[in-house]
Amino acid sequence: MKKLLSLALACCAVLLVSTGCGGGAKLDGLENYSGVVTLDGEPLAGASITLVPTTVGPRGAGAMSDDKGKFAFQTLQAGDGVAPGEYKVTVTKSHWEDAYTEEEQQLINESGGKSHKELFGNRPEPTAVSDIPEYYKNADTSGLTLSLPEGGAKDLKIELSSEE
Amino acid sequence: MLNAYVKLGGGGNSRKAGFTLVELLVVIAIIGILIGLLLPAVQAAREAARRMQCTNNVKQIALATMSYVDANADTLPLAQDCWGAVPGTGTTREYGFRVFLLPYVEQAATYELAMKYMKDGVKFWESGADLKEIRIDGYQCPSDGGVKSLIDGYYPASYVCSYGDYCPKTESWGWVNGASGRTDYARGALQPKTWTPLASITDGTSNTALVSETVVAVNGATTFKNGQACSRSDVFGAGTGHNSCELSGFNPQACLNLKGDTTSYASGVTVYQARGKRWGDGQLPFSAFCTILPPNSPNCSVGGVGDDGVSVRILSATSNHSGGVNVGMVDGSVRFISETIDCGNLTGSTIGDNTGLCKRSGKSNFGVWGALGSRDGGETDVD
Repeated sequence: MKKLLSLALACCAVLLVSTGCGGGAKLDGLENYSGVVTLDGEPLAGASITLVPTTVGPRGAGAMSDDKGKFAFQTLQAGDGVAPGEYKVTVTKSHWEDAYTEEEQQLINESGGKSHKELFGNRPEPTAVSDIPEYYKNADTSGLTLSLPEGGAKDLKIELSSEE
Repeated sequence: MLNAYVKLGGGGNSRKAGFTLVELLVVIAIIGILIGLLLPAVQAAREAARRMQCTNNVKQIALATMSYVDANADTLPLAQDCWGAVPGTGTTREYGFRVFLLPYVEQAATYELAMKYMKDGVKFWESGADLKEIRIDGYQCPSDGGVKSLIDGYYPASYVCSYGDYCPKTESWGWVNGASGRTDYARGALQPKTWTPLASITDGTSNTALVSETVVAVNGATTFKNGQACSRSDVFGAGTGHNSCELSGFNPQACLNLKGDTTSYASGVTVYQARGKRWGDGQLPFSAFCTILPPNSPNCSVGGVGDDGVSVRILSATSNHSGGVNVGMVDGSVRFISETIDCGNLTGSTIGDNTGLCKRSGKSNFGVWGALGSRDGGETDVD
């Protein structure tokens, strides 16, 4: 009888756990691909990688690299993967220089549309500065390609060089 | 324990009437299982009802727009009444389409109050005490619990207007400042500073998106659905910035890449709580969406530094409904658009002012979704 009871309770628990809501819409035929992006052999964190399709689809895919340079490609949702095929790859990573301070930003927000010059005179405007050579941003000039085999892969390598 | 009987009645007889403790527990367990089975169904039914309410709100807003068209010389309302919209005033007001539709959703009294501030060149959400805590139920989607919370004393709104598949240059929070010589443009149903003539919707009113949903900003709870990555305040203020929000080398996929998991942005992304905040405010992050990234995608603000800085915003339609969003068409019909809708190639070249992927005329580059957004793209494949 005790066994029956615990069985019943277990069933109950399983039912409660398993009846979550269904996730978002899923695309068919995607597989998981992950790997590491490096710059001169060092892991590159916070890089945005984009896969530009050349043989499949019109749909592209992409990923952000984490602190250790690791990435996992996604199409619509995190973790949904990519369709196997041939892709051109672009990579961007940059940082801002002459960024506005919080006080300056506050001033901009309250100015009702005044220009940078009106507000700050000759102070240089914030600019984005690339941390990697510019040619990696464009699919036609990056020289990077990935061939994603059927069945997924975990050991992709995107190796960048800082030499122009 | 097996001998622990529950006595029923007072009979001192040897007749053992009642249930054992174990039997009772088994019965309770069975009831538990049944409730466990029923509960998700009840929750789903409740969500379905809420979703129906959201769909109905979209429909009401689309119909209100048609009423507006009838009463205003066959033109659609302004997406945003911005700098210099009324000659001679030169004031910054940024009232959004949700204000102009008030008389057509039976909120005439609220409209009169808002107009009082507008005529004085004042943004009521900055100093309009008598409009504080006014909630327009028809502008709130109950599937999104965030609509119940006030931000700075004003309620958010779940509905955003379409500016199509074009990614306009913007200045600060609003549309382009006409005063600095640039032209405003959007090829969605509604435009800033320009009342779109109904006749200019040559793609057909049933093929052109007018209004959709957004998950609204809530203080302290930013997700990719209600936040905007790389907003100026955060990016430039913090001085860190995020590479994906740099205009050079940016494509819509780069914005989609920022989706970290089912709710949040990827780690390291700076986010501003922006979407749907303040129902009266017509500035882009608060009251517009574009048909570039599929429903339930992140929102990004790119570039846009200073007067001459080109800037684009990708603002997505988002909802808590499973798998997509409701979209109201100009003709008043409502479609549920799936997250898997064809958006064309999102990895193309840099987007900008009429360069690369964003076009001012001709067939949209963003597939069926882009075609639904443009009012005069001439696409044939929107069904």
